[in-house]
Amino acid sequence: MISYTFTDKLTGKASRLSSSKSANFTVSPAFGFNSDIDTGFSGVQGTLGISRFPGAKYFYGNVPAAPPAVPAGTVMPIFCLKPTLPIGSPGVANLGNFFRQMRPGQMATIYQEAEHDGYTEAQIKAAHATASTVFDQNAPKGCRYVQCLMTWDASGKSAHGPLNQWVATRADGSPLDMYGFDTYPNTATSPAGSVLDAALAELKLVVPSPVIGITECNYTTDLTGGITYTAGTQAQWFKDAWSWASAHNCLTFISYFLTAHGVPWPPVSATLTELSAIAKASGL
Amino acid sequence: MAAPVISSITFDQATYAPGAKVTATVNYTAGTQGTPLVFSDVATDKATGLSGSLSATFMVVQPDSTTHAASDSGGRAWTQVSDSGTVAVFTATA
Repeated sequence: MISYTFTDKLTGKASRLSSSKSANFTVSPAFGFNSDIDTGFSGVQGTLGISRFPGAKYFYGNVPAAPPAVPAGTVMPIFCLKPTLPIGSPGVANLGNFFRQMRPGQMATIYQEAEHDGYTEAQIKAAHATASTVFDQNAPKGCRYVQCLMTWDASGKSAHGPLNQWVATRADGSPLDMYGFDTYPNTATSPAGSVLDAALAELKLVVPSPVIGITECNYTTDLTGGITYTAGTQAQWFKDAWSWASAHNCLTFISYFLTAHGVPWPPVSATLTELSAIAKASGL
Repeated sequence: MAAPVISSITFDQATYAPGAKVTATVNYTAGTQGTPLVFSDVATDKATGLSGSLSATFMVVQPDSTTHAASDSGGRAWTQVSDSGTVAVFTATA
């Protein structure tokens, strides 16, 4: 949860005497789902009994001509683009065209989980430097340029680790607007919090005070060799991850469900109950 | 004269999802403004026509209407939707 301070300054029109008082309110991580979830967003909303969710993650194999129409209330979607690398003039033009059409609150990145795309760290970091520059020149105020990293690469087991070598910045070395963690178990007994702690520690080696989010999350995936968290339930995994996200001021909390990746939607009832509780806790 | 006093600020929810409407309610007491007035009296002796005078100032205190300036640490735009004179309501987007 991110805490904000509201202040009202009250001033007498004639006397010009004034006083002020402040109070805090909190904004939760943007709860949401991957755009390719089995039943689509409307199916998710129906199953969970919610009318909207603010977070979402959209995947593209290129740079589309325009951002997609997102459901009402999905105010913080992440658009994951794939320009041809290295980014040349056509890529710059396409990215600029896309970024210009984004709406405040929306986020964009290129090559999410790039650690596994066959490019070198230098190629990916250079691409982010270019893309973030184009973003800063074109995106409306209030949009964010982000990077989505795999927690697996902070596990000590990944052939693509350590994670920190993939962390990108802007061309001038300043941080990107958010770093997202695609969060899956490192071992059968590693709870979500320990996985995220390890990833955050790696990130901080490059960006000491990052803005972070969870940009994918589930307790198993065939993309990491089929490791499943068995020390607890899938519901427990989500509960722990949500608790970590809330405690670490995450901007997003996006769960990932897709039958083709071993995490079908809808999940078992206990997981649905937990996701409903998270939705409620998030203010939905 | 007295400064206005805000007694409480409350929100309609404990936590907001991004994009949700935040409603803040401010309870307050308006301050006062004082208008100084001068009382003067002139006393004249009827026989001699000599006179003396004295003046003193007194204050008329009235309620002072107020203006609000609402802001938050996240840079949101706050809209004042009502103000009864003792309760003001503001909204913004989380």
